[in-house]
Amino acid sequence: MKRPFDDDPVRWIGRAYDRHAAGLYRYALMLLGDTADAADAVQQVFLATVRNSRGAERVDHEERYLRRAVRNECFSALRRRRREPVGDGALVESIESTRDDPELRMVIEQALRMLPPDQREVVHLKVFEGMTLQEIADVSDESINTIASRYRYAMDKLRASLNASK
Amino acid sequence: MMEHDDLETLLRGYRPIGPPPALRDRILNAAIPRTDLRDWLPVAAAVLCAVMFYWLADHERRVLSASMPTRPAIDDSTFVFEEPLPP
Repeated sequence: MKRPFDDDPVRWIGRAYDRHAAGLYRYALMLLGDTADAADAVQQVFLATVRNSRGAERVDHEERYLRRAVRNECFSALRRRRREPVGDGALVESIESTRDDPELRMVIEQALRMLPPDQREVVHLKVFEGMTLQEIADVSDESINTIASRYRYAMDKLRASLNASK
Repeated sequence: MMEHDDLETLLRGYRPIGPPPALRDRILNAAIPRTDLRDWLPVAAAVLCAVMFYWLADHERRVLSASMPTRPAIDDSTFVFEEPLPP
């Protein structure tokens, strides 16, 4: 099986970063809720991929592999974490900067931060990445019913937070 | 009261912020293999010890050889037998 970085590991990181880092970082940020922790998780995954040849040999689908690695790294970081993230950094941005409402954005950020990481993950993958519940279930090794429940709970909480802020 | 679809539509107007521009260089720099001087410390210490012990042994050898009396060269002409040889 061909390793993804047969030529040069550093060059492979550069190419893989340009292709996948934005999505991986956003995923990590939504799981961890902290920009510095998200950057650390993404860095750790890229470095571990080139250093761990056994892991790298199994790379058939680069993006899927990296996404799963980021997920594992983030949940490990959450288990190690002894403090809640400070939570004062930005979490989301408006897609259309001309229609940005800073106050609403802060309310959404606050509401997202209050969700447990597994519910925030489902919201991220469903709403921001456009995945189906079945695809999310495959990614997270959970049943589709579990994922659907998490999504419903998360949306209920978000709705309650947003309505309370009005 | 916000409905489910309204909330999804509202959220879709946003996305998580992207990675900081410096992250790419940070990761690439961390990936470049570097020779850490600390890796060479045991080797350097071993070489230093070997050189030091060699120098000490050599010094000791010189001191010993300097303190020993020099044996005169054997001269056949001055060699005298205590007893005469039997005929």
